[in-house]
Amino acid sequence: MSPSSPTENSADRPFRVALIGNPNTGKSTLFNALSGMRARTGNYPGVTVEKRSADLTWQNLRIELIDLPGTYSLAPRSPDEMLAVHTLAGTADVPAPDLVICVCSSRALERSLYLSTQVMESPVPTIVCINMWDELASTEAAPDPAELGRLLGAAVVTTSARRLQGLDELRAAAVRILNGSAATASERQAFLSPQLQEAAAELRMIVSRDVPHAEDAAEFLALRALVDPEGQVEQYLSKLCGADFRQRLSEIRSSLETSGQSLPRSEAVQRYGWINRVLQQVLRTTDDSPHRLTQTLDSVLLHRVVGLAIFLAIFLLIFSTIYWFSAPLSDGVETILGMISEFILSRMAPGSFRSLLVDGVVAGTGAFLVFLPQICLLFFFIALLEDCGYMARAAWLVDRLMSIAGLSGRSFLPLMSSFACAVPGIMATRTIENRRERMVTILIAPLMSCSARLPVYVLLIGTFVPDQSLFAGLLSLRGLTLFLISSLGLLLAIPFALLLRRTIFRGDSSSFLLELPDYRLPRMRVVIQRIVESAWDFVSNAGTLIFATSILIWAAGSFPGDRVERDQLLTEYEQLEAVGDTDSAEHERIAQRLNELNADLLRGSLLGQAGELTEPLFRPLGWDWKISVGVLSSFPAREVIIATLGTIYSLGSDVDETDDGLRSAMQASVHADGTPVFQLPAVLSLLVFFALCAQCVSTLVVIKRETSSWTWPVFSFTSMTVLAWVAAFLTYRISSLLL
Amino acid sequence: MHLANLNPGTKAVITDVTASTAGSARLMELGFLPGSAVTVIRRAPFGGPLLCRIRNASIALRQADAGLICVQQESCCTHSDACSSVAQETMSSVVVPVAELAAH
Repeated sequence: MSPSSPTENSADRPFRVALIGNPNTGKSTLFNALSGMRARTGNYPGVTVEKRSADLTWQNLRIELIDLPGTYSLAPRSPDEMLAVHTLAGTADVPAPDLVICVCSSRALERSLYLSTQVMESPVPTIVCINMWDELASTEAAPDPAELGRLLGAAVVTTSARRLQGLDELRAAAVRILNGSAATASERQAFLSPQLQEAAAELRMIVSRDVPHAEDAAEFLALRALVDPEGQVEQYLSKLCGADFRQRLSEIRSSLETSGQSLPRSEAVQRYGWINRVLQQVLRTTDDSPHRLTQTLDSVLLHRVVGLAIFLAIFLLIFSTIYWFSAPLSDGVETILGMISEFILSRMAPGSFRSLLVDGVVAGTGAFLVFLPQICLLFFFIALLEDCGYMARAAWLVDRLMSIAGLSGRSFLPLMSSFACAVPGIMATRTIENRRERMVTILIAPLMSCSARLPVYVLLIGTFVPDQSLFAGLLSLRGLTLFLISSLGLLLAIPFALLLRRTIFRGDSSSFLLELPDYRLPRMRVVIQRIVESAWDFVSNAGTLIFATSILIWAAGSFPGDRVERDQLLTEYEQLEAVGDTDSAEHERIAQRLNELNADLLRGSLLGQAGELTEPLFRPLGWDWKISVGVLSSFPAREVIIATLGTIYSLGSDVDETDDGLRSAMQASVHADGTPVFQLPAVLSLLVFFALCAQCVSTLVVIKRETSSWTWPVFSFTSMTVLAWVAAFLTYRISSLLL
Repeated sequence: MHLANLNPGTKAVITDVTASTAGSARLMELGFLPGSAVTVIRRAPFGGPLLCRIRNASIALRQADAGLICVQQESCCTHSDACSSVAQETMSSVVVPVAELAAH
């Protein structure tokens, strides 16, 4: 038995089984059904593609099941799409899988088989799995799977993953191939013309000579390079093979051209021709209309007036649910953490360790747990809308609108949810298939005015913008300012997105090819699995990083500094509180001294020093060192600036945006020369800065998680800070001249 | 005539797909090929994407992509027949005969 035989390698590594298929074939549902809750997510090295896999056991065989991203063909145009070809051919680092299951949709069999025939040209044994079989089995159009398998030259299995039907048969068929008990694969079918096959066979010589690890896949790779001019496979092989490869390739292509076979067209024509003839033999009828229910629903839901109205209603409902309902849930999380803090405070004497536990560990846990309710709610709606088939239609309805910013309709939901919070919004960009559009959407999402900015706006506008009414009482100046400042990010996001689409993420601007699946009732199991998966993914991948950052920021705000006097006073203060003495002059004196000490300690800490150091940078915006410290310390989260301002103005950190003490302290704050700090131009520049800056660690961490690279959070932070500074500077200058 | 100019509900046959761009390769993978029947179902508001029925699937595509696809309406009989038969010819001339397949 050779060392690569399947039975032998099962001892040291599991069999690798890959799932591949078109979008909308239920491939992910099948993956979830096969893997239960054991799916793990990670990233493929070097690309921004999420890797979902699961370790399973099928009839005593150890299996690693891998879910490849949905694709319509093996003609990759980007490194991300190249992943499927690399997986099937194997690379120097990762060998090819032992089996590939090609998932087809029973509703669009002809088109699904297009990808299947490409996959069957790879050296990996293939099972063609016709999913959503329940939708076809009841009609007359159902083909005989055995007959189809005979014509295709591959095992054909039928499943209904949403109903958990056919899974045992699929596993059994896989095991039969893996342990070698299946009859040896029938003779390979030739899907393409003899000339193309011969050309691939010839190029194969060069490939197997120059690419040693692709020995088995040489002909497959050669064919993929041949039929897809200027595609990724051609580029990949050109790099690895000698100059004779390119030369021979172009000679072959021009000779094919003269015989009437121009590429890539001929591949599509020949493949569909082959599939058509096979389907004519196995299909009894060809029904070419969508489900009647789908037709009826579409005539309403895609109507240019009624459809748009329903669309707006649905998305307003989602948005307001996340905006309003996640607040009590997040408050609940905070209440529980508050109780834990109270418990620690009551049991431990003041000191750095207690501060680490309360302000570092508990606050850091809260820093990512508060996002969970929003993430769960958003993914509940996403899963619901996607599973019932409405999501693609929503994208279709707003595609024209989003194309203004060089994006497609797919970007609408992620951007809209970013108005509640960018963290779930950025996670929702997973529904965008086009990588460039997804990246641009991720990068502009933090510009949307999220709910964490609101307390800052309320504090500043409520304190410094005069309470005037405009246009005969129709509008208040404060309301107008709030509206303008909330729209600012959105307004600037459009040119920013266009700029990104024309520079870093240039290319296929017009491609919005989207399949609208038939409607069906959403399955609760599918929805719940989606929620659990995204919540767990956030906690395990982003949550840990957010927690770590919170601890670092706590340390920067706490050290260095002599805390002996403060801790002693705090002990006395807590003793007074414990005996209920909260009105005496002594209590008052200690409280005041504590606030002063805290303000000094913050000023002396690393964070405070950084604030003073960077003050010259912020001076052109009209700010003093106190605002600089506040802005720096709000890096973990925007709303933190209010607590920091409370500490700096010696009022204690438990102030909120409507606190009168904080408002009057800010109004009384003066520069060294006696002029008030918070004049309207400085207030406006601070508002503009907060509207545009990237002061949110959680957002940056989620960007890192979703792009699997530190480049993009750094890029996002830098570009947004520069944008915020320039806009704040212009605001300060222009309003100083006008006001 | 281009697919982008078809009225919703009209059935047509594709006569040609303008080559050159990556976009046209994507269209062909989805089955927009000479000789294929296609129906425009509806158009999105404000000049948005078209919704077409092709190969038993509903595909949304933007006007720019639809402009790459030349079609012949089914109603104008004589002319369209000529077009589609030309397309059929180009398809069958380069494909392995079906009898050969059945023999396997």
